[in-house]
Amino acid sequence: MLSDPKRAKEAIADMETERKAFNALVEEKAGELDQLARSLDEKQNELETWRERLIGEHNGTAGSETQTDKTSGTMAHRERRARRQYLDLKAYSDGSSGFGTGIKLWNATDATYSTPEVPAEANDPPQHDVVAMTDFFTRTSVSPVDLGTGPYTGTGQKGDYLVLCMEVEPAATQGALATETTAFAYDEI
Amino acid sequence: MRIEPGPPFRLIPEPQGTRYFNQDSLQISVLPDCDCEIKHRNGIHMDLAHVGVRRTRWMPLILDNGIRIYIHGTHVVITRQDLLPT
Repeated sequence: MLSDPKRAKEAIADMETERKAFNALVEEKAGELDQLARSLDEKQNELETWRERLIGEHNGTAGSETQTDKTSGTMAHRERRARRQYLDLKAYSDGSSGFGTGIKLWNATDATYSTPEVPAEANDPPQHDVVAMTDFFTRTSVSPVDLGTGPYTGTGQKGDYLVLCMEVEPAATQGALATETTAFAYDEI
Repeated sequence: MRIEPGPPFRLIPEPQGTRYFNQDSLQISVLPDCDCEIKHRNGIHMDLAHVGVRRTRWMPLILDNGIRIYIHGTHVVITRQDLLPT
């Protein structure tokens, strides 16, 4: 017990300084903890992004077609964590064919899968389900192919199939083709 | 227009109605009195004949007057156009 009022005052001041320092430390650690939690959340989000299976390639006879995942995991991983909605599924090209003369890429959409077949040569452009296909290189980010508006929730396949058909005309030259890219886009809320 | 891929971001709604968007050191807060639409816009770019996949993710803010603000890393685009990732 401090009987000297001056020493008592100093001790109280010391304690106050220590209390403030301790509070500042707690605040700093709480901030660090919050940062770590956010960082962990971000990493989980990144991981889930990689786990999504959003694009599958279908081929072969309808009913027993093969399905090749173009990305790994399933959308259900994300679905279980949050009730997300997926909207406005689009597909498009860069608008410029690098395939060269005599090689064309046609597209159509279909709500159901059907066995791929060679379109009749009599039709130019080729047809899918008796409907003329369109030049995929005219479908750009400004005028994309619409694969479904949604909103889509839950698991499983969503949206329409994008049907692509490559035509090689006699004017085409031999050799490997340049790489071309298909882009898919969708919104998520 | 080409916008390079940026890091992933988080979109966090709060119980009070404020929504905020986090990406690295960038934070954008949308207060409850703003009725703008916010969503993730995802792009998947695939080689036609191969398995190569590149992903992009934008955050469009669609204001109630139709103006769209696309945020992608340090690049912010303001337009009325409905842009898709390229």
